[in-house]
Amino acid sequence: MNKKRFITLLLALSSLLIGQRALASTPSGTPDPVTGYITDTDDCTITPDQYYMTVYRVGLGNSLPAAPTTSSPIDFSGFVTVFESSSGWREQVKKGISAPLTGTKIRPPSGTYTFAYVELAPKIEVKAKARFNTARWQLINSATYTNGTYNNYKENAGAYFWSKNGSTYNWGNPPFGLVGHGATVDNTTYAVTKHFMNSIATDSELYSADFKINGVTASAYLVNSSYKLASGAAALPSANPMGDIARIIAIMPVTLTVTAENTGLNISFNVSNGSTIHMNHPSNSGRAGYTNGDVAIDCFGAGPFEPIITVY
Amino acid sequence: MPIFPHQPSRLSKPRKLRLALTAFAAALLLLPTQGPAIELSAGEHPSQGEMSDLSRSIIADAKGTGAPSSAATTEFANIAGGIIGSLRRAAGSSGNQYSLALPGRADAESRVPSIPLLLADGKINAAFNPAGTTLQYNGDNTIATASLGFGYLKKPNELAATGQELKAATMIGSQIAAGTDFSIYQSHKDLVVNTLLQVPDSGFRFRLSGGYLWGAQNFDFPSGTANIDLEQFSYLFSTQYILPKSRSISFLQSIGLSAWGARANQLSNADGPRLFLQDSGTEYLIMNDPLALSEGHLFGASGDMQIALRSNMVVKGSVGYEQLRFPFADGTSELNRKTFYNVDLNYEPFPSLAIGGGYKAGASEKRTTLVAGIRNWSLSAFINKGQNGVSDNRGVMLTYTLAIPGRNRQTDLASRLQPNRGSDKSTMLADALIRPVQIPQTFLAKVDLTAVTQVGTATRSSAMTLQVAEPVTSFTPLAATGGTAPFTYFVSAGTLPAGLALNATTGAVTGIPTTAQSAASVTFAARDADSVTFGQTITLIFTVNAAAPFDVGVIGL
Repeated sequence: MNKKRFITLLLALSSLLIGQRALASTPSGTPDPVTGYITDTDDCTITPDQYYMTVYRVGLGNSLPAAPTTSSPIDFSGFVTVFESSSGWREQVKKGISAPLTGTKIRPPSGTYTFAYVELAPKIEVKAKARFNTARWQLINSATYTNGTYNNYKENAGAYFWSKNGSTYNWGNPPFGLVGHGATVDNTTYAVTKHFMNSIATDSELYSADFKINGVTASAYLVNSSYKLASGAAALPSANPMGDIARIIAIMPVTLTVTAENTGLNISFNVSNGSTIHMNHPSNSGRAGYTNGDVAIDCFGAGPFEPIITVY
Repeated sequence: MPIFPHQPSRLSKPRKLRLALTAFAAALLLLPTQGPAIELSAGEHPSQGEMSDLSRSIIADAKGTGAPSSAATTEFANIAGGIIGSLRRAAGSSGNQYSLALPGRADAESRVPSIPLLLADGKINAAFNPAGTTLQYNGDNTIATASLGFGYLKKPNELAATGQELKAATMIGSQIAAGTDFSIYQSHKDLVVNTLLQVPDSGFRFRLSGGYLWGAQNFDFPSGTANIDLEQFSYLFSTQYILPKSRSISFLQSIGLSAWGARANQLSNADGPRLFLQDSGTEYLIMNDPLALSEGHLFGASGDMQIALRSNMVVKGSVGYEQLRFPFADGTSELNRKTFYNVDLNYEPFPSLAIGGGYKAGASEKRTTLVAGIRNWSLSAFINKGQNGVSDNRGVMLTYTLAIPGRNRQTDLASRLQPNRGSDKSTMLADALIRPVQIPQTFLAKVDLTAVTQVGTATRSSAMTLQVAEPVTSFTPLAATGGTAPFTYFVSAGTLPAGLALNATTGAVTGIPTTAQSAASVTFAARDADSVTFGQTITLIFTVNAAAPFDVGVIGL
């Protein structure tokens, strides 16, 4: 389960770093065309009902900035800022609808840009639900979790799973109770789940990563409020899983040409695959009705980013 | 006493020759040898040089040689010599008193009112007339005149309205005459000193003249008109052989040879050097105009003769060669060679009508002069076409002459104009007074375009409209060369729009405007390594429009 989530995040970051439309290679939850049920038995992505991102800054430049360290901040002096919100602007990303960000918007000088960066809150919020074709199990709590074996699952009480209010972290075990489970969606508990990035990896702390996108280096950093490389994060169930992480900064190669005729810029996200249904196949040491390898639903996390920066 | 003209302070380089000439002229004027002689008359002197023979005719007559002058020559001389209101001494006076009475007018004395200012023994006379004031002294061996008057003289870019002339001549012994002709114009002064030597009974007469012309003249430089101080030295050496008198109607009176030269010298360059902009189509070229003139060097030689065609018609002609060379700052030069010829015609068709004309052509001037006189009135005009870049000028004058009763002239024009082979004080004094026609009256200088050099470039734009966030294509408002490298560029007035910067080393302006602003001027300047400020600045008006709205949003796919 952790491995799958790690792959999903990397893919998501890869997509983000590409900076252009990059199809996610993650499995997609394709409902059965006849029944409309999800038949996947492994992680898959679906279209969430709601998808939120919190944006602090967007900038354009023509070279990678020096990587941040724990003692020196990342330097964006070579970039031009096109959007800035000191408190961050949380915006719901809707399919096909451009949602303007609220903050300071600055026209970038006309010219060609080869790099863009996006400074985000280290979380993505999704509100999603899914209907499966077969029984699924749900992790109830961690009290009976021993040596990788879950002992306490709620049996399938219906075909519907939905996200609930709570947080999940990229590094660490998934928390319990982040999904609802029933014959119908209980709208009273149907809510947004926050997916926090406390590490780029899912099994260790990792605050920076470089990628080669078409031979060009792209980078992602988790930084603190001083824009220095973060530190002190810990895996769940740590009491302080985020450490001093304040932002996630993604720097991606782009090919953008801004002219005087352009009136705006859009950051597009592929919300069609905006949420990942994290599934597991735990072994059962005694739960009645559960067969080893049956599918359990952990949570609705964030799907891969697929940002496309375009000017219009 | 004559008062020498105020010498402009701009003439910063007094010349020894000028001083010598001036001193010599002053000495002549002060010579007490035969009593002082001063004549004041009025008027411009548009054709002084050309009228020398005519003037001589008058003077010769005045000196009592028994050769009365003609009406034409008298009127002409009055104009040419600037003696608008000549004063004639009474006729029939003793041998040491001479008349400048209107020649050829037997009844002049009966028609012309007497001069009220006849002083002393009659040697000093003064008169007032509509055109000016004249004071004259005629002694046995000395003649002096001074005039103050008004006329019209059109020179390039200027209109002169007043002029004064001072003339003096005296005999030094019996065979040498020395004289000077000093004219003061509004824009310049002209001093000529003559020395004549006649070998007794041989018919040979030698002349050495030196001229000094100085003052200011406007020139049209590429950077605009500028008033330049100049000086010009001239010389003339001539020899004349006087043929025995003949009773034939048409006869050759004299032959001779002349050689002359002149050289102009620029004394100042006004407020130069000046920089000016020249549009190349894509940018302005910053040109340095040192206001330099090419100083012409003139040399000429001619053969001269004087012929009495008829008793009432005398022609003096010269044919020769003249060359004018202009050296230029780039080491090249322009050499102009021309045939030189000069013709002066004096004609008295009737006793009361005098007609005269002259034409001089050479490398520096083509001057045509015409004059007609009837009774007390005369009209003269001249047009000078400067050659090879020398300036044009032209003038016209209407003269009314008061004359006192004078002696009737008994001889014809041809007789009056022919000099004596022996001692001839009258014609020598007359010759010593006049300005040789060969000595140019115009500064032999013209603008030296090769001295104009490019010292930089400047943008053709005078205003620039920018927009926030729109990068400014690098441009260089001002680029200087010359001086002591390297140049440092700076904004001498105003402030560049926010986001733009001036490269102090290259002078280029680059950047991206960040703030909208209304029109504001910025002046760019430069200085060289010696902190000498470049003479040309460029002022641009910058307007920065606000950036067009630019939105940032998110969208789901």
